[in-house]
Amino acid sequence: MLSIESLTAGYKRKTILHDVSLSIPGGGFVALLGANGCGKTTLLHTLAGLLQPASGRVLLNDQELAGMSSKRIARQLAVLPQVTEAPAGLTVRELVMQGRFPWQSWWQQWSAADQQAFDQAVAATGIADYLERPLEQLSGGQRQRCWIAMTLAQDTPLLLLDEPTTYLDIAHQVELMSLIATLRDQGKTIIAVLHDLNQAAAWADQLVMMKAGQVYAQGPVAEVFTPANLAAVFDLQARIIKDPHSGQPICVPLAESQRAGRAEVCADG
Amino acid sequence: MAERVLSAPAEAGAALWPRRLLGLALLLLLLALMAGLHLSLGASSLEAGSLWQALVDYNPQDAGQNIIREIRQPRLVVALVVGAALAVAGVLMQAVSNNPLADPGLLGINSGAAFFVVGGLLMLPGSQHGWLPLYAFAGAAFAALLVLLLSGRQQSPERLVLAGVAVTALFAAMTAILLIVDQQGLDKLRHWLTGAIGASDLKKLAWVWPWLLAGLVLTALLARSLNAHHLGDRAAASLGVNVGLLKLASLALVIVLSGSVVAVAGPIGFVGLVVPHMARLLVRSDYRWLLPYALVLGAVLLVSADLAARIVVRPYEINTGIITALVGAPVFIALVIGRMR
Repeated sequence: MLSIESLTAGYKRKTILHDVSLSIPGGGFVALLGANGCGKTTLLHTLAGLLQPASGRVLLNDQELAGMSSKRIARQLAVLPQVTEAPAGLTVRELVMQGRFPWQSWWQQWSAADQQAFDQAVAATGIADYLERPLEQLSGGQRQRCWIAMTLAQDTPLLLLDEPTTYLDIAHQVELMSLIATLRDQGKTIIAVLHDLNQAAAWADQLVMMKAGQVYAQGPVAEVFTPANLAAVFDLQARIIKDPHSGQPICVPLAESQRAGRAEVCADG
Repeated sequence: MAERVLSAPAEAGAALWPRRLLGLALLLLLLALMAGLHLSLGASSLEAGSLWQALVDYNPQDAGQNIIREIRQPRLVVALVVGAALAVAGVLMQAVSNNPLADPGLLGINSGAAFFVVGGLLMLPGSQHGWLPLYAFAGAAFAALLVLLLSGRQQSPERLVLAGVAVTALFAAMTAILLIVDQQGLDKLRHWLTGAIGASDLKKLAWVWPWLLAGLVLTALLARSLNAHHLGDRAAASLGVNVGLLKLASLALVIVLSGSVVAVAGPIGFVGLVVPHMARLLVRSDYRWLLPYALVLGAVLLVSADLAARIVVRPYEINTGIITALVGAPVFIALVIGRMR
């Protein structure tokens, strides 16, 4: 569905992604993991067409992104930016309604389809109680859910989320994860930058691990979520255990004093 | 929760429509009232009866009616158009620069246009009047470029305004130099340079109205994209707005709108700063309403300022630009202090 070929990208005077190739099939939840500054956000922005690659190509359904109009791209993929502001004077309703922008035109302003997508986004994120309130008055977590609703209202087959769990308390993080799982079951493709490794391992279908501007490992959670990869990507010594109920892998970071037995664990993994 | 969503009105935006339209109608009523006062008050006050007659059944022999039709009415039309255009230019500038302090006057665009117009008139005395707006556009564009270069990549609102003040001072000084060199020109232009509106300006309006009309229509087409842009550059881009193109188009429209105004009435400051804030108090941030509200409010403000200019020191007159500065400067100071808190 979305793929990149030998991509190099970055900002003026600083190349962040070096010769990255990646292919993301349709209909799954892909978590993008990596240490701070490894290029996750840059990769997400390049995938979304917000940043032009220095070289290489981004292909959306086998078509080059660079040749598509921004409106056409916006009907295919929605992006939740990392830092979401509270634009002055805007109510929650107005923000979420903006999600319908790529589907509207000057002469066709608000259709039944727009209303349906709006209602679904509001219901899915549970923000119906404060639709009329100005964004400035909301807590960080409430605001984040409103921005997620805006992204959902865009009603695209592809969703790119940059650290969507920021500002959310743990209950709302879990709620968001199961919302993403529901969307995945509806056939959407979700790519999300996540910080919580266990959350990523528990909910995602595939992991993409990045290190120093390159993809270090990609694949199903069971194959990629290993102590060796975590050590290489995060410089983290950890043990992987299985949740006795669900069988989900869980990573347990080791403190300095516990590392004596590290070699055996790695051998197990 | 789902039930509540389903029972919500089809579109809350639609529920606002009657209120917004009513507000706009009230503003138009206010404008009509100020226009009536503008026509009847002045160096000599005229009765409502002769105002009505002058408008409906004009008798050129009657001195009072003659003043209304030949002197005040053209002046009213110019004030209406100038105020509306400046206000819309202000909305555009504040929107794309994401800066509540942006204004074509403060950011040097008006004084750049004025300098080019003065220079053009003095250097090429034989030039056709139709060229005047083009001089103004060139000057406005040049000033905008200078300000953008001076304010640098990491634009803070304060830095942008500082660059604007510097460029304004630069062009004002260069205009002064030109006028010292040409004493005759000074007498002709001094009035115009402080932002004056006069009856003769109606002729100048004839050279710029196609530009103004095109500018306003194109601005209306941008309203939806400006709404999306209000969410921030990145969010707008991901919604499918070509942010670079939007900013370029808005800047071009600001140049055309304020350049046209300068060609007609000279550099009139602060309307573009004050009116967008007034409009936002009434309709918050939806540009589909903000633009028409600002258009009417700008006309109301400038007609009122022009009325004040003619009656505060009757029978003498102050230049309209001085009145708008008297009103606008305190608002500007209040905005800066509000930001510093």
